Amino acid sequence: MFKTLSARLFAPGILALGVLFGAPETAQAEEIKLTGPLAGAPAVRNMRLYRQGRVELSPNVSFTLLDEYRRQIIFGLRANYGVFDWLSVGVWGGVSTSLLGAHIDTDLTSDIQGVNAGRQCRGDSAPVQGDPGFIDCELTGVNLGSDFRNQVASLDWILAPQLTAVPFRGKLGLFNSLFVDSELYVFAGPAFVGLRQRPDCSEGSCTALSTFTTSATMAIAPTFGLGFSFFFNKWMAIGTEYRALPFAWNTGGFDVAGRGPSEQFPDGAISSADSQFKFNHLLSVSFNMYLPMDYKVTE
Amino acid sequence: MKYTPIGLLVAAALWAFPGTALAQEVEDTEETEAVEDEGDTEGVEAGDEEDVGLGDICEVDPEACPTLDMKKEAAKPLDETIFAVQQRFIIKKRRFELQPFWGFTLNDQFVSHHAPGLALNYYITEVLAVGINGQFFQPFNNDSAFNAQVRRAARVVVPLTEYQWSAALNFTYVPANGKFAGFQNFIFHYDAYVVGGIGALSTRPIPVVDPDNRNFDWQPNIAFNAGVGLKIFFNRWFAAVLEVRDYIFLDKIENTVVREDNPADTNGWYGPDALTNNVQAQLGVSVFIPFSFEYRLPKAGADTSGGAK
Repeated sequence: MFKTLSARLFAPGILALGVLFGAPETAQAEEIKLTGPLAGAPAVRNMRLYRQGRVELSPNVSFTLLDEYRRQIIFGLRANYGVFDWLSVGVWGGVSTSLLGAHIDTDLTSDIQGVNAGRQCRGDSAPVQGDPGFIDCELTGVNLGSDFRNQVASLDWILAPQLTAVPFRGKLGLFNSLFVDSELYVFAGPAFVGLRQRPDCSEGSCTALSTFTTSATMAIAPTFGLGFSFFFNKWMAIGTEYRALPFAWNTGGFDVAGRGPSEQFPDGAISSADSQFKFNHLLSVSFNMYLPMDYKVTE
Repeated sequence: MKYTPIGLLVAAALWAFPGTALAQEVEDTEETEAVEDEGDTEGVEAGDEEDVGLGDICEVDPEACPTLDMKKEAAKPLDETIFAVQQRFIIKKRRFELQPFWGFTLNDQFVSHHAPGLALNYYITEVLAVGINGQFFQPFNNDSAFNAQVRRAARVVVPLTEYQWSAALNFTYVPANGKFAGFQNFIFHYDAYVVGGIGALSTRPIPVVDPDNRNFDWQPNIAFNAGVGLKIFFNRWFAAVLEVRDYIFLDKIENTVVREDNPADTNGWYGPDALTNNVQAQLGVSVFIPFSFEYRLPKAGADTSGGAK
């Protein structure tokens, strides 16, 4: 049996709205004080414990958002064990299309490479002093190799141990005919992120062609997010979730900082100063399986 | 003797209905509040009312006088069936929805177009609404630092666009309703909807290729939009809204080539139109007007008025 939303949790907000709209009594209309035989009864009776004591295995696909130069599709697996129905411990990990050899570049990457290729800065007929493209080649000598796509950073793999809390459990009616149990969960934990990005080089050495490549590195970052699961039977669900993975990295392999006040001007070197903080958003869809295949039910 | 079945029926009704009403909803009346304030005395009062009702039946037909032991009946385990969706928490049909919101750009790393907006919907049916919405972008366009970094590092100019305003006619369909129990302590209701429409979006290029000679005017473009949203109800007329909507339009962008012979010729300022997706997250609130409504059918033992009193 459900109790209706308790007004005491939203008292400050509802009070303010009441003042705004001149209808404070409406807030009181939502307040429910259960009396009679249901007084003291649990908020939810016969609740299905989808997580408690069960292992969740979720193959999933994640898509990066707001990518600057290269998009990633991450094929992953999430494994959780439900210590309680509202708390699970587990791990999420995955490998990206870049690691699998399929780069999905943005239009910006194509545009930059198109312009870069047209300049012929490092070709056999490279412009010399006095040619129209000479200045561009000189000014981009630290930032662009012969093929910009070779220096674009990629997110190769992620491994994230995490805690998952399920504060909200409910049900969803679709077209007034299909009803499924659902949950809204939040998760957080540390993430180990495998990257490939342009390696550091010191001032004077960054114009060498050998520096316009990427090398493997690892970042450690917090990760957190929230998601929905929709249960179709006792052991199967689909889910969608949003994940943030904030850390700093040099996505384009450019020299953008390191000199001047607050180090906001290029210094002719590639270093950690050129790494920019990104929030790194991901959206995932998953197919969830729960083992054992039967669940327990509360009183 | 002929009154016996009627008496039993009335007795059962008198016994059963008050319990159900208390389990579902409590009327926000002065009587109820008085009962709540009195705490332990409430049960006594309720019992007295039932005794009076049963007493009436006993006076009509002593043979029909029920002999229920109310304490034993109250101690029986409850096995009430709960339907997935009983009475809808909120009735939207024939109500207006006023929705102020703030839009956040999700897919433009060069210029963010965060902006306030306002939507007005009218629900023709419980699941279908028609409405309008608009946004005012002009003071809020923000040329990002990333854009300048790319220009400086690669000496590549990417055409930029800023927005002025938008307006659209929209249709909203609500296929999903649900509720969540929070911390097994309270519930809130929500619905999920899809929305789509057509309108206009006024834009102009930010001159970055030849800013000395080019100065663009605002021009409205036809814009289609489609999105999905989630509405979480705090009460029967107030909700929080999260929506993701894609505004799709043909954008007029700056020509990256400058006519050296006559750079001031406006015919050379524009490049080919570009199909643009302006994906926004819109966070706002919904206020349903009128605040109150009446359920068409009553829920057993429940208050049928749904809004502010």
